[in-house]
Amino acid sequence: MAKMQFKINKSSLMQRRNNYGYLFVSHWLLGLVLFFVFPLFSSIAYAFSNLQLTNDGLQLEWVGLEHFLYIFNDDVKYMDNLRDSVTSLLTALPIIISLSMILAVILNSEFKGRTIFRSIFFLPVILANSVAMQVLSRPDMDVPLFSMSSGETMEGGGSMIDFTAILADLQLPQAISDLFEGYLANLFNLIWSCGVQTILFLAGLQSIPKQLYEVGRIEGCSRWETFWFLEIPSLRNIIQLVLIYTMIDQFTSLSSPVMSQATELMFSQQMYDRSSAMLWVYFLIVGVVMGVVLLAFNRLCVKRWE
Amino acid sequence: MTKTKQVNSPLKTYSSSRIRGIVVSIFASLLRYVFLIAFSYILLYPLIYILTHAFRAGVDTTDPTVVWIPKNLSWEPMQKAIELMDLPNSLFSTLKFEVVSAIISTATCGVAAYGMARFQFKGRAILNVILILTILIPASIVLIPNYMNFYDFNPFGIVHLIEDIFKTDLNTSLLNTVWTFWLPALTGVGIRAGFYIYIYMQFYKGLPKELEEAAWVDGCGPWMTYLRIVVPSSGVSVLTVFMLSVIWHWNDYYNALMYISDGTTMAVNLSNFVSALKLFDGTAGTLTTDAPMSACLIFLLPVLIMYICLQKRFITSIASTGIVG
Repeated sequence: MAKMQFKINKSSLMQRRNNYGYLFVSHWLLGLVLFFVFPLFSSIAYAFSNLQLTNDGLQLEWVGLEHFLYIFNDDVKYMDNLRDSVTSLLTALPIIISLSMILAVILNSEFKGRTIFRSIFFLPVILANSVAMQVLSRPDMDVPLFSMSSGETMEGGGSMIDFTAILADLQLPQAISDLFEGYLANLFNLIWSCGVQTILFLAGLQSIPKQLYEVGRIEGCSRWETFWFLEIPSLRNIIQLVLIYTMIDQFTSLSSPVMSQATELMFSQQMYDRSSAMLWVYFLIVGVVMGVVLLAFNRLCVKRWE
Repeated sequence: MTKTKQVNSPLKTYSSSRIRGIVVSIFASLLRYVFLIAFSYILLYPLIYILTHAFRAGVDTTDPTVVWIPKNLSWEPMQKAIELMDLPNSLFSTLKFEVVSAIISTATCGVAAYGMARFQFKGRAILNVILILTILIPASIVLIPNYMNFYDFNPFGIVHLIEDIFKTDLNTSLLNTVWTFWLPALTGVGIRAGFYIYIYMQFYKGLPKELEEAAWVDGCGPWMTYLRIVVPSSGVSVLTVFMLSVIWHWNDYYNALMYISDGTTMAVNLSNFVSALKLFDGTAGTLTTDAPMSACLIFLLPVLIMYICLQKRFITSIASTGIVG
């Protein structure tokens, strides 16, 4: 009985304490309603109506699914862009993940000049997606290395090896060499989008307890075995986080085809209604793709590692 | 993993495996350096390019023998960049609009994250889902609705109600004022704020609860516990969020483009720089000056200096605490 009493008292005290949580999130709740939830619903409303900018503000006229039908039936570019966005993400994802993991493993080991290399490898965090990089990658700026990413072939002057010729010499099947050519053309972008991921992996590697490595050493693991059987399974949560981050980063980056089409429509043609419809379709498809990737990762990898 | 090597004679295998070990380690470290230097080149390339071009005289831009190191240095591209970037003004408005709201965000997101991480209040699960949504949904979806929001600022219909009651026109357009940036920052929904809240939450969850319990037992209120106990011991996460927040605010382009129509920020000026330069020079084709590189240098310099000052603490803190794990 006494125990019971104690429990009840404690829970009510905890409840009272927990209500202080509202105090901490109150300003955020206000902001969410004003600047996120409400705008989100109005953007859904935009997607289903015709917008007219007048002096009194926006005039909405309900048109139902007209914009969606236009996007799917009449807009030639949209479906192509959608396909490009998804396929380019799915091909870039394994490269980004493995590249950043390799970098993190290297940066985690002891060697001379580690701090300098670490600070160089975190540079993309401040420089990637920067306006300065957009200026550099403008086609009329003609900066070597950057012009590679726009799919043009390199003209001399640059200091890169002609990988395309080597690929052609190897006489691989067309599909594989196309895939590699795509990677090489985007090599610059791919390396540049590894910054945050490398940090995440490095942090994850640092949090693996030293005892596990010790056990591995006593058991006679080689470095390679340590990597596959110790580090990767311990990093499974981080890998999941990196997958999510990378997908969001790639999908919402303004260089992704659908995003650039939608923002172009928004800013230069002021067609907010149609661009919202585009973004919402895109967002739903992105959600499905992310769900499938995460589910596959959980089924195929995490289950086996646990 | 469980395979054991056949050992014939301890002495012999010791020496040969040792030699093998040395060869392998030399080869491995050589490979590592080659790999790292190759990658560093790609990562440093834009910076080197900007630095070597920022002070290049006009003669050198058409000289094919000049690749990296310029033969003639001059201030001329720099002066042009400063003039076209509208420098003192745009720097001031970047500080006023973006950097201040970055600092506000660093503070307010921490408070919200503490509430989410430590208190099991009702509706927390829904807020968690909304938090993930704020990270997932691209900001451009809510950009136009928010523009309309600020164009005629009317939270919950209160302003219109007051206007109706007193029969006045309050003219509550917030466009071109700092509030378009400060209000979202103050309420924890600024640029990429969901991400900062997420980082803080991960960190607060990892903090030992006992310290706060002790403060609580000693009669500290929730605010005092947060300010006296939690904030002083979360220097690492504050530093990380502050750095990311300043960088992302500094690079913010679309918000500034939408909300500020005169006296805009450096990011907007930089992104319009090339077309402004062409208009200024009256040339349509390729550029004959390296002024865009000087403009990039001006734009990046403050962030780079901040990075160089903070990077040692930032990297060691991230690497040693595993802030995201």
